Amino acid sequence: MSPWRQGLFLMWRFLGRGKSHPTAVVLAVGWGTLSMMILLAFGEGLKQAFAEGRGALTEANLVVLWSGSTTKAWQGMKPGRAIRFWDEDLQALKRSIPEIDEVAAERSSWSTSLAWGRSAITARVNGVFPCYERIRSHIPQPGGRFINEEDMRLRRRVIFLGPELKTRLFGDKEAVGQTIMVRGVPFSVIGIMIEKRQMGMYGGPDIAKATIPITTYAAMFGDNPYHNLVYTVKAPARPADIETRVRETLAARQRFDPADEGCVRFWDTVKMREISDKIVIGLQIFLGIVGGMTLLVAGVGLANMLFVLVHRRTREIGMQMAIGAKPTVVIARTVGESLILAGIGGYVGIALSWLIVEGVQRLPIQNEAMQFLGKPTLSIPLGVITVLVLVGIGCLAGALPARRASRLNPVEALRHE
Amino acid sequence: MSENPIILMERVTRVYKSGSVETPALREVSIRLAAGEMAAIIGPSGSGKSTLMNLMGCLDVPTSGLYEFDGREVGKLSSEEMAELRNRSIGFVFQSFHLLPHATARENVEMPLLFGGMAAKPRRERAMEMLERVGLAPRAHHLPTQLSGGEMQRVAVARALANRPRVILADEPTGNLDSRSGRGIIELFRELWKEGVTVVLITHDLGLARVCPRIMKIQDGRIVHDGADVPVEDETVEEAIRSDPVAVTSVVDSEARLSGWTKVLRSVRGGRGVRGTRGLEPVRG
Repeated sequence: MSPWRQGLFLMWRFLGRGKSHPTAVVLAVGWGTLSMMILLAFGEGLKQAFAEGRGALTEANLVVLWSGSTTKAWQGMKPGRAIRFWDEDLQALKRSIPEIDEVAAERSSWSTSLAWGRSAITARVNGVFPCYERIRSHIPQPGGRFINEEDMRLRRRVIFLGPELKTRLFGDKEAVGQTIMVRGVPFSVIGIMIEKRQMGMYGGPDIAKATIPITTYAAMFGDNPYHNLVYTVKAPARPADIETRVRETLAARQRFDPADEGCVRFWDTVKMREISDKIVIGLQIFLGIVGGMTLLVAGVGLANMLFVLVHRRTREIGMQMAIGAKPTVVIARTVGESLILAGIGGYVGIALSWLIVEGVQRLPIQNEAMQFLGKPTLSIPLGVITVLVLVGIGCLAGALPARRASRLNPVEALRHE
Repeated sequence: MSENPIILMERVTRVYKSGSVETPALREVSIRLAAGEMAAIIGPSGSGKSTLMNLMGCLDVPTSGLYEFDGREVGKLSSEEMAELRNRSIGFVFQSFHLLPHATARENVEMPLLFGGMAAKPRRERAMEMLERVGLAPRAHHLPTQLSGGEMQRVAVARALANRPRVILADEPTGNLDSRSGRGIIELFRELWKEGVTVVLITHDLGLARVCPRIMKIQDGRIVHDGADVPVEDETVEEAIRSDPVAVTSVVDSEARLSGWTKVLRSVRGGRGVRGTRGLEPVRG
């Protein structure tokens, strides 16, 4: 039997006996792995939630335009003049800027009363164009549809509901095909939007809004200007590339200075995505640093524990050397012990983090905070790296004092208190 | 008994260093011990007995001088070779047993066999055989904490015998035992000696030393006596202690540890030295 095998045999035979405190080492590595894995799992969940929410508003190079008022005198007109968007503005944009893919307008009515049976609530109702479905990801659940051209032409009283709104009105009951009252006027529910998570929004989350054809909206609420325009830009063009031309087109129609930034406010979601990308990278760097520090603390604790373990065993090592154990036996036993204990600790840590992550995923809490927290996702490769790092630290922390002890004169080791 | 020296020391010196302070523990010691001899090394505390045993047992190397174990110069061996030599040729019995506290009696005895590379089954059988020899086979599965001092020392002897070594080195083997257990251990050593094993006992106990055909006395790091009997002055002290233990013990407690028996007797006899117990005045106050 080689000295390495002798050392490993001793380790195996006496693991957990005497002063070795294996539970403490297992717990130290397990805790380090657990902390690291949970941190990374929640970080990954947050990152995914960010990416998903961002996707809900920026999937097609979306730009939202709001009208403001002039801040400069222009062509004999005083500053402070309100700018309003009309259908002609929308058509002008569509005609003069070929990079614009689709353009739509929105008109909104806040706190509109909606009623179905005994349920009565208030919500925001938007008048929109059919292409809004694609531009703003108003995708209907199976069994329903979005507003179409016929609805527009015939000014049908049809309504498309956000899922949260549907639940508030109908609970679990089927809504499509039902008639609800909008400010006392009956509307047929034609579809329910699929669930979507928004990290960026204006006028509240889409899941809590109702949409009707903009022509029906005009008939019901009056033919007023649009509240805002939304358009998408054809790739490879970017919204920033055509922003000046959009401003000039609208300025020519509405007679304001194209350099007067107060007249039209742009929300370029591509720019927002770039910013949020940077936030995600920052978040990852932050989590990496916190994770690294956690690992460092766990490693130092583990190293200290193993150092004490070997130190307390010095006399025993001296006795073994006196009766013929070679230095390799001493090192093999300690390294083997570090490997086994750190390995078990790592396994326990990964198993516990898996349990916790699974538990969190199954929690019935559906509030927004939990939604923004996202779905924690375990990264097994990172877990394995964590365990390997801790095992490596464990091996070093065990091997160095064991090597020192194995080089001691057996007499000195035997005298060790 | 063979005349080939198994232990050969020539002008061996061992100096311990602590910072810039050097403490010589052995000074130019020369010993020649033939294979199959049984010898006792006696001497007061701090005289260098244990240092001598550590050197003989290849646990330590001399600062200067020549030490050959069975014809091999120990100073030239690597730590691995020394370990192998200790494992195969030397059996140690320590005063404080040095058993592995969390290993059973059998596992303790198996330890040197494991380091010698023996396979599991013969190792277990040999360990049981050794425990039987020391009369402890029924206690094979007990931990040291479940054994009496005498039993622990017998386990230590069984462990020392496990690899059938050529030399047994025992440092105060009966120091922590009652007289009955001590006698049992001594009997065991005598049996081993009769079987041809070289036995070296390090002891304070003159009674134990007298069991050995050869007695060496070490004092202040030097061999001052090497013969078949206990040195005369030690016999005198022993007798003095027997006749008036209070008188001598008080002196021993205060002075003897550092200065040795002769000086003790000088102080007891008013500096004249003694050759017998006659005229020895008790020390009062």
